[in-house]
Amino acid sequence: MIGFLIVTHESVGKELKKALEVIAGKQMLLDYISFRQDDKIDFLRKEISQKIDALDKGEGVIIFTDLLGGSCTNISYEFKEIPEHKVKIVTGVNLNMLLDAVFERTGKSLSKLTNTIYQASKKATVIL
Amino acid sequence: MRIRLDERLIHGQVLIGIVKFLHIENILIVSDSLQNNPTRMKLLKLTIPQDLVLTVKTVDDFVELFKEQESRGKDNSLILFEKMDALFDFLQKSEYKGQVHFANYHNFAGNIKLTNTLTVTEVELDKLRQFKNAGVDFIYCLTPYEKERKLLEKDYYGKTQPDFGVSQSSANR
Repeated sequence: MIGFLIVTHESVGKELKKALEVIAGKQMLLDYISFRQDDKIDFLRKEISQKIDALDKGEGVIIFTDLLGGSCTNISYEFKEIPEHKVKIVTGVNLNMLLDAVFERTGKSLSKLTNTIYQASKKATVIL
Repeated sequence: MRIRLDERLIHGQVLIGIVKFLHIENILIVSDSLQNNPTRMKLLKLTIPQDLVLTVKTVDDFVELFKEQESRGKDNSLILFEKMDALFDFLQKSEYKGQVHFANYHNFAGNIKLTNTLTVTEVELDKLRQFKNAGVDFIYCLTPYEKERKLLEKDYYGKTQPDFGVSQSSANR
């Protein structure tokens, strides 16, 4: 099973996980990191490394971050090229995206799932 | 032109706070090592908005450019330093006497907490004092929406706890 890690400023990821599990039930291999303003950047780096180690059971990990260009994305990106793990990063995390991720993750490769999530999230943003 | 020390370089506070608020058109990163890191360079190019110009220069190249542009007055540029020693090198060589904004910087060998996002060593603090005495104005300011505070003034220097409620658990993170 592909692992999911949500990395955001403050408690956005924690609350998204809570909301997700209200709708879709308790999830396996899903964790979050809350990056606070006065946290050291190295703390974030170590947390991401440890969580990837725990979440990767052989099929890779998708890191969902909040802001393209933000520290959460910038540091997560360092793990994209590491040889020990397969990692993909998707920015702009929201509840819709996470729901798609959990419902679509069975039987898909890391690349295919990431692409599915990306395409679905584009369609989910509409003006009503 | 705004000069900023921020170990996170380009991130949310910079892109959303500073660039938009101050109508920055150019970002120049001063670093002797960044251009040798293809992963970081690739990410910078991916995240920077298309209407922003991004340049990376070594300290010496920037000192030269700075001296040329100084006579031409202000421009809409943000100058970013990731490391304190690169900033000191620039200040020494350029004899710059204006404002330098400090945002996020943690020297792990240091234990002097100037604010909740700035930790320096004794040596760095001494050098900061020297540059301050020579006319450089060190300002603590994460985003333009916040009140700017002068660093190394009596109300910050020497305090063991900053005045905005940093808890012990987050101070160790």
